[in-house]
Amino acid sequence: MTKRDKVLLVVLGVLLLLFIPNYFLTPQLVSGITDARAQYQTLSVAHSAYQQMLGTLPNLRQYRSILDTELAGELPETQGMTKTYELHYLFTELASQNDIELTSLQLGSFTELAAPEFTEEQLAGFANQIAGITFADFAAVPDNAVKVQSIPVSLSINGTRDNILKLVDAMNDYSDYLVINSISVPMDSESEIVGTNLAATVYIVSPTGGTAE
Amino acid sequence: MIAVDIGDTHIKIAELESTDKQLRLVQSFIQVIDSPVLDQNQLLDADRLAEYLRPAFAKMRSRDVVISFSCMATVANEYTIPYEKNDLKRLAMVKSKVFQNLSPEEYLVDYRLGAVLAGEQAPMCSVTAYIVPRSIVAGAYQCIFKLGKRPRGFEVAQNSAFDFAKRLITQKSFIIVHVSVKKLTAHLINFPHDVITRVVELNQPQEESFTGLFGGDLSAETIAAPEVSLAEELWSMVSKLTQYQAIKYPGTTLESIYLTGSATTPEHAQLLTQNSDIPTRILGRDWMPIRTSAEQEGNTVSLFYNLGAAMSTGEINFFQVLEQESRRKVNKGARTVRLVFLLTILVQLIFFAILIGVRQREQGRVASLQDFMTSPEVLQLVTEDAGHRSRIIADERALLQIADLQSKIDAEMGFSTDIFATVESVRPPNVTLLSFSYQAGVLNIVCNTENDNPPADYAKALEGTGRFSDIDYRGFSQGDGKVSFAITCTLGKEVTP
Repeated sequence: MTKRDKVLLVVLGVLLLLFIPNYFLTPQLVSGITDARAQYQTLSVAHSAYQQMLGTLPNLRQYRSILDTELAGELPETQGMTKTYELHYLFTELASQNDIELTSLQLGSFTELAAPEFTEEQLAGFANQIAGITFADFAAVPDNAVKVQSIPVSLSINGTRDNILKLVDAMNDYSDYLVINSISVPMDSESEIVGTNLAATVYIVSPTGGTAE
Repeated sequence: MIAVDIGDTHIKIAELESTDKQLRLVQSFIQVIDSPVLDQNQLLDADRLAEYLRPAFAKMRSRDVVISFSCMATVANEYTIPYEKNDLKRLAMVKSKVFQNLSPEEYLVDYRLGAVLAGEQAPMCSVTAYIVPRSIVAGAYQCIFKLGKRPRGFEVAQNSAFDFAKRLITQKSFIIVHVSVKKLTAHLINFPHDVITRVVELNQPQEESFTGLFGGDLSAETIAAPEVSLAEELWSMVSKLTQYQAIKYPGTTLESIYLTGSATTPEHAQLLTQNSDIPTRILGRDWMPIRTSAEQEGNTVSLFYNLGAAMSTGEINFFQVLEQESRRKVNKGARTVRLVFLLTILVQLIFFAILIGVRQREQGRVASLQDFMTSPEVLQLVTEDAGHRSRIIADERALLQIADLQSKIDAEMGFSTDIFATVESVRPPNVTLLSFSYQAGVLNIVCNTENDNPPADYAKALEGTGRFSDIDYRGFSQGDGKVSFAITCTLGKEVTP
């Protein structure tokens, strides 16, 4: 064996030493590193979101508290009066409080109002006002956060003009949910007026089950 | 393998290791002996030989032992110029037959045939046979067995100290002649060639000696050989070697002739000097340096030692030189190859270590993120977050629906006492309100008065309140001294109360 052959043999050995371990180990190691990095990139996005979420959580708690209070104030006294007899109690109470004789009370049927449809711009604009809530989050919640129903009411009442106006005034305290559609009042006498007709519409707002936690 | 050289004044013991087809010296010992333990015919004192060998053997791991005996009986030699190749074969056959006649129970034969070939011819040829009494070999073998080693063979070495001396001479071409009481030996050295030329037993009747050993089967020429004269044989040897030198290496010249041995005398040197112009010098009996005229002329040969004595005192460690050389030769290439492979493996290991480290670091980062995101605290916070968001959105939507409802209710423009108060606030004093009715944003009032101006004034005053988008007045009628009239007021969406 010549010196050249020996050198070639050594070079071949070195190449084999370099090639064989690399052939079996390097792809696995590199693949492992690549996978881990890809996984880290994916997880780091979620991690950032988590971190941000943890940062915004106190704000969310405070904002929710404010909203709950606001919504409780916005909900009318008529909320949950989904039974007609409950309305009977309302109007008889109003009449008696104002010395009005309620001679006739006609209650119609509950009609559910379709939920308003908001445009994307409206929702997006609204969502942007809430820290950490996106338009997608907002759009994912159904429209019928509350159920709104209307029921027509017709009353025949007897009473003085002033008492009738007091009754109207008392009903106006519910003006957000009670609308006096028509009324006819003769004014030729200060005495009791008989047969005054009053037509109104009552709106019932009920929180839906899905909106509450 | 353990090599033992049994000499007359020293026993040299060396442990050798076979590495990559070369021998490497592991360790060596020199044992000075008081008197020879063997002579040419027998092992004189086996127990003493064992005692000499025991300390060295105890330190050696190898079990196989080969022995070298010095200066055994030379029974035949032949020297020819020139010789055909076939003649060499024939000669070997003849000599083999001669030795076959020896008693195998008593003697062992070390038979050597040496020749320098030049093409089909052998210009120089030597045939030498040494007869070794079996008792010596058997005694030595038993001695080795007793020491727990295995004898693997023996070697007959002639003039071993003389051979060592030749290696110390740095000239490339010279003759060295060893003259002892019993033998005359001459060598022609052409480095790296070594031609053993002739060994002659002195002062013995050749015919008688040979007849006693070989019976009547020898050639007439050999049997008739006369007793050898030392001076004649000495000059004959040198002249033949000089002749050979001229034939084999034309153009080269012999640089020196060395005379050694206990029987060497200045007369021998003088004889050679008178018959040859080659510088001749005598090496001292104990191999100590001797200054000669040649050295004074600048010759580099100056120092020779009795190697056994020098090595036993540590003055010269010949084996150490061998050891360094052999290690250098054996290990140089292997060491380089090992180094290359180790470096390659090291680089590979570093490379893989880096890759594994990077992978573990990346996996650790992933694991830390996963641990964070799957921890119960975080999951609870996420759930709470989702609940807050859901509730907030629901509340916002509910508020939006309620706001939308308010818009619708506002659009319906229901009756309120404000409207009546507005009507009453601008009513002229002499106008009486008889009745009013309201439906769908339209207020109709019926009044009377005592003259015809107030109806228009009243309508104008109602217009002036800004509460109504339209005021419709259609005239009056008179009856019973009163003027009756009606005014229709339309509430407008755009009108601010």
